[in-house]
Amino acid sequence: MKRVGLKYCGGCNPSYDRVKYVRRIQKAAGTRIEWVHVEEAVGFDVVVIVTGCDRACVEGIEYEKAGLRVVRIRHVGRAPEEMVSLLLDEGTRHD
Amino acid sequence: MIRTKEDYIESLENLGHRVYYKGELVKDLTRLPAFLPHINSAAKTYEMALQPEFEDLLTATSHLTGKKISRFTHIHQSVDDLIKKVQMLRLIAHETGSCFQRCVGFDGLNATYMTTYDIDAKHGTRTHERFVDYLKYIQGENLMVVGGMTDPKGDRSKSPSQQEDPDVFTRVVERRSDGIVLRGAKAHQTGAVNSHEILVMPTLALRQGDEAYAVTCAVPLNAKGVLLIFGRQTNEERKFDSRVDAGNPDYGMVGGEALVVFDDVFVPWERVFMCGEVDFAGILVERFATLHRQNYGGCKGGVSDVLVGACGLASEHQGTLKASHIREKLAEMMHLAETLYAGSVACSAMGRRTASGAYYPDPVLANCTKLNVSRNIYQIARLAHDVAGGIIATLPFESDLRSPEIGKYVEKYMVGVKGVSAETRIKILRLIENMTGGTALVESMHGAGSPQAQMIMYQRLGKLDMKMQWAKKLAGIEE
Repeated sequence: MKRVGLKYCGGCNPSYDRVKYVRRIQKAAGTRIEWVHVEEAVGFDVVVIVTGCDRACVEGIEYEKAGLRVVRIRHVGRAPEEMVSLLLDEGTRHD
Repeated sequence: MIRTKEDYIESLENLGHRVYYKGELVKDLTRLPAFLPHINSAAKTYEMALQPEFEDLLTATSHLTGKKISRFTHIHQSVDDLIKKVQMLRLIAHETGSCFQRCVGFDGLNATYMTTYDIDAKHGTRTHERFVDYLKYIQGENLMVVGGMTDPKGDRSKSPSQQEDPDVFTRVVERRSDGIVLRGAKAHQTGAVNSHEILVMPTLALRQGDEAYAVTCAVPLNAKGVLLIFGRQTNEERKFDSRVDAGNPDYGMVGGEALVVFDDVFVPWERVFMCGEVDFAGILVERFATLHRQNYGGCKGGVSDVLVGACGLASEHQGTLKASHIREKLAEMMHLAETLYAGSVACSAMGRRTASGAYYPDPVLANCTKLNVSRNIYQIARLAHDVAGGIIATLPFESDLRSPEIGKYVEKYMVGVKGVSAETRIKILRLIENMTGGTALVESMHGAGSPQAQMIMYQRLGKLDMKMQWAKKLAGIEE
């Protein structure tokens, strides 16, 4: 099982339901991914940064500097299964 | 320490403060329907801080302890902190559709932090150190603080010391070796009945002779001599009667304001942060007002987002959503709301560092934001009434809908487009009514200072002399 860190922006005025979209991805991932809070966990090499709009108040640069792969979600752009494939792949990606 | 909603409610149950409702001492505060919506709204600030999808705005890192704290107890350390405050307020308003009360104490803490620093720099006192200790306590326990500024004021044409009854402005009636004795009252105190502490501040700039009124101190609401009298709101009884008729049954209408009375309350020196320094009363008031006016495009912007959504739904239920004039009015409402938000973000972006290290919004732009709120919210409400229709003023009771005898008629004649029940339609219309009438509007007018207070700020800080110079230069006038 792959461990993936999850970090949200604050969600002041989002253009989509961030939590709902992430839940769809989590459902599609099933047991292939273990989701962990970035501040409370170690031992993961991928971080998903979920922001509600293109302002993207949480950038996640600190995770990149720490050598982690960062996947950014700013809108509902990909099907959940496609996102899961992306998270299980290697290399830095932007959605 | 209070972390969860349950912790917060338990802390109120254990507080044992004296709250009066309709002339009677309240015995079971956390179960009284009159207070539940306000408790729920404030509890949201605790709940959301624990949710990963909101914590980036609801929490901050204390510059005093390095610990993760509620943003409502944080001292702004950057322009980004100022902007995050506004974003947070808009966010929470989406969840409550109403006032969640904690910003007042938040602003009181920030204004007092920067002002005690300045008092010490001028007078060589140690009030800032005392205040920092108090702030660490508030941050560590995650307590809810009321920002106690507004005095009853009595005869507005007279200064505090000229009043026939000297208690209509809160004052120090005795100085002891171990502390002070406080007498007076604070009016319109948002969230007071479900808070833990009140941070008392002067209500206006003071002169020599008014030293007794230059007092800033923190008082637990369960201190001996403190009592609270809850203010009756528009449609107050609906909180008891009916969830549908209440409109926003879980979160209510504005903040739940109270009159907080200090009947000779002892305050130990470690909780006193200003005592007699009349030269700093005005600046503390101005800072609190600026910090509080900064908020209004955030919370009112967020509340207006909900109202626009409610009007969109009401239109959909009535089959008018595609009508061009409805679309236009909804767009106008959005424009008015975003204008408010833009003001709050602008005054934050133009914020500056004070000598204390705390950041402070631009006072003219914060002032501008609040003055716009006193206008735009009424205009937004007017458009909401226009879009929703006269039905919001003539809807039957929920009990009519539930009646075995006449409920069928309510269901038959209150129904909207196919697939939308009468109950669904009524719920949205009641929400619009709740958000656009009585207390909700008055709060937009007078909260954070009445419009005239904002006009006075323009006269003081509006740089009219510079504007006249620019005009003279362009007109070629040299004299």
